Amino acid sequence: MRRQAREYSGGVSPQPIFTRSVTVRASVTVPEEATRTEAVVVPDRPWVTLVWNDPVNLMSYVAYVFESYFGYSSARAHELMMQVHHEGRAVVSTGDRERMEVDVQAMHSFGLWATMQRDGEQ
Amino acid sequence: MRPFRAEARGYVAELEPSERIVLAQLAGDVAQMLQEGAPAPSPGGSGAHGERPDDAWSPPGWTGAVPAVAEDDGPVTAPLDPAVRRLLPDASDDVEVASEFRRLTQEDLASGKVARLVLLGRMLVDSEPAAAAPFVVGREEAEEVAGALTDVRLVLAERLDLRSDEQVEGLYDELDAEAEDGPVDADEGGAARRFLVSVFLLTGLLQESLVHGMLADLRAGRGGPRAGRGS
Repeated sequence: MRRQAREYSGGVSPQPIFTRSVTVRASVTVPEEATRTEAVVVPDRPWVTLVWNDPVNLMSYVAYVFESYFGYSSARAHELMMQVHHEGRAVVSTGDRERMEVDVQAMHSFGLWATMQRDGEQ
Repeated sequence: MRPFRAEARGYVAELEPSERIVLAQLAGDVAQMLQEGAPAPSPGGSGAHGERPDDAWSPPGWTGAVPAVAEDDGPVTAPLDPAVRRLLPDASDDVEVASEFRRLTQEDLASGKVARLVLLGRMLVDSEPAAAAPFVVGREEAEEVAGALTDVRLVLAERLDLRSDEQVEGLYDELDAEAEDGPVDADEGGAARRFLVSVFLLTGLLQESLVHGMLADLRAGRGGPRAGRGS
């Protein structure tokens, strides 16, 4: 995530683009343990939605997504955002598999990189 | 370009005609990449040109499986283009979970992204101003425009091979150095890269200023409808 965009000097003009294609997998450092801060009483292990760090999305946009979609307070959204930034990922929601599919789909729609897994899996 | 700022009529930036054309073209290109890279499963398994009979013809002497006819609920494959795949990433390390997720969501996700890219492109060139002019994004369409700008930036970053915050930060030094010393390399590849870098920075400033206004309105309880979680 980037703190903010910087100056743009202007002067773009139309020309062909996207002439190159490469395949490189982004590597992400997985923290030892994902931190859960919201206790949810669910029989069996629930599923979690993880949002991963990426170099493109701006912090303000990630904050907007966390606040507008999940309804988190700006303080909670900021906390999660900083966890993504510093630890590489954060658990942003917890629930059953179907619910997490909805959340991951929403994150992908926003353009954030999100995955789902059973809680406790690495 | 002048970044967005919040006004009564919505979020308003100012764009040069050339910037409008470039951004609209980009939005259209990304929409096309999504349509070609994540094709919707075709009903009845008809191919690109349609009309494949149920009893598909096999070459004489063919002993293998009859060429597969896609089912409506068949597997939805991951896009091959890494840029399209960044827009429609794997939802899990677990192959079964990721595959099921694609089957359930990929078509909807792709068509939603295409729709808002087309909307952005149309908004940019609808009035075709001959000079620098206001670009107005209404509050009710701001989330779609911010999402479309995000997808454009993700594709640009993939094409620019940007993998880390440091690499993105380095783009500014890259352009700064060229502004002082002239182009480092005058070859075609260098020019193409400079163009992509310029557009990446342009879309970054537009998106940041737009989101700044959206976030302020959200926190103040203003703004248009949002795709909230609703639970």
